[in-house]
Amino acid sequence: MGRSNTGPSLWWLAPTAAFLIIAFIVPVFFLFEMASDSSKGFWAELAQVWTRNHTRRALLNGVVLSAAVSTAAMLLCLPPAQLLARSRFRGRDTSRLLLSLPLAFSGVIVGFLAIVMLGRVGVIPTLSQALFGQPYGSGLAYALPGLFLAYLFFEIPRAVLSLEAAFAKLDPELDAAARTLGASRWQRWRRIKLPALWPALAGTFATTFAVSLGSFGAALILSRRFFVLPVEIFTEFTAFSNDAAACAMAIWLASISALVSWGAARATADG
Amino acid sequence: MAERVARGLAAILLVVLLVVVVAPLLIVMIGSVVDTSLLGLTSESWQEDVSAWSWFSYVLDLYGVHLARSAWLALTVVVSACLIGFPAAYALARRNDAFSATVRVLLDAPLAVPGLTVGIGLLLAYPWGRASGATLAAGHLLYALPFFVRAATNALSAAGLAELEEAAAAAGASALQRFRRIVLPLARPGLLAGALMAFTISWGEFNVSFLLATPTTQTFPAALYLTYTTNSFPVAAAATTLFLGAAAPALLLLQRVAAAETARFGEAA
Repeated sequence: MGRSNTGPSLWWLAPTAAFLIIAFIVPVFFLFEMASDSSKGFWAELAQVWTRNHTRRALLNGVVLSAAVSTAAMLLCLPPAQLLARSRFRGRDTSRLLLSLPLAFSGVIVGFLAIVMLGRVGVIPTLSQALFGQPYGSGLAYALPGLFLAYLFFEIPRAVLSLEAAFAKLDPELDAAARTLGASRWQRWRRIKLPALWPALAGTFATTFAVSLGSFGAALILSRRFFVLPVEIFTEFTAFSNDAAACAMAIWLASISALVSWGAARATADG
Repeated sequence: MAERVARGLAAILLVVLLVVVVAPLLIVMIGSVVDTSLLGLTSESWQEDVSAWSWFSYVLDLYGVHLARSAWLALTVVVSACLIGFPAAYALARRNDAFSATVRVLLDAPLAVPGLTVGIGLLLAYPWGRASGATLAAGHLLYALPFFVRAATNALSAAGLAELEEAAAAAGASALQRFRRIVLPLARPGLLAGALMAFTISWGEFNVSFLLATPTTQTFPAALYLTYTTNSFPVAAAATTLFLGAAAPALLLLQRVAAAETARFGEAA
């Protein structure tokens, strides 16, 4: 503790630590307490989320959708992120600013935008009707593709910004040296860029996955037949006042999300 | 050659992403001031004799109170983040012990937990905090604080800052003098960036808010949900444009103040 003698005292951390205990640890404890308050018992209540067809499907729907959206966001944003980090061109700052806009949006706004574009009388079907005589995309917003696009919409800034930061940290000298030594484009990707980017990729995936899995604004507005767990939790809690079941689902949701983040942090530490 | 093709593809992809993000926003913004019945977006509510801008006054009448409440809430969150986050960032920038490491992990933990889950927990733990909006503010702060502290910690760990402070202390400067003359001027961009992130998060927050808000503490994003489900397109578009009116300048300012911090904001919950 030699260093801490000269630094500020631990008391400087006290307000934040107290706030985190009051606003985070205690509420999480109450979630567990409420789930174990059930007449069935804690573990039976947790197991029921998995054994009931409806909730299991909602849980798996969310996991698969979030994984697909995160993967798509990563692949789509990787090349533009490299461009933003490595090249100087006019409109670069403007592009970054415009791409960062969805960061400030809640899911409900994204849901509304999806309806405007791909609803029953959305912009795209209307234009398509005028151009091709067929309202292509009509009502797509309410189906799985619409939900996928809406989630992708708010993952774009998260993926672009964090990948751009990762590209900016890459050492260009290393790449240049490999090129002088005759490494092919693919070899340089495989042997230099990918290992260096790996922690950022894992971190980006974990973030976008957690955000998608927990988002419920967009699903609340859009999903008609494709159910995701946050919406189920909300309905169970508010409409049926089935607090124990809602808490059991919430524990599943939070655990999966935390597990993926933890896995990514481990990957980052190893890399 | 392959290099140029790859760059070209990346540029095309960038343009595609820009169109995907900007086109819906432009349509909504245009839709809030122009007759959009041509696109089939407006059904019965559009009246020829009503000037387009009047939708804004209609929305302000309807949702002015929610706008004001969200602005007030965001301000509260920013001030609280500064008050409790600055000392924490100062300690985290200088200390390297187990307790600091724990606080650091704990600060980021809520980002990995869905807001709805935290909302239910807050509601169960403090049922009495709902009417006053205390749990609502706590929920917002929980998601804003990590970003403020991270930005502030980075700013306060800047090379030379600790040495400058030590030198000033050796020369007899008081703690307040050191804060006002050295720490604050040097860390200002980082602190401002953190405050802007806290504002943006609170302004757009829905996951925690929708559950914790009562009819009398409803935030603007929660009110937007009701607009989308009950109102006509021009009203919804005008309301969305008002939302963007505060969010976009905050993000613009954030980029101006600290482009590097914007990247970390990519992890916003």
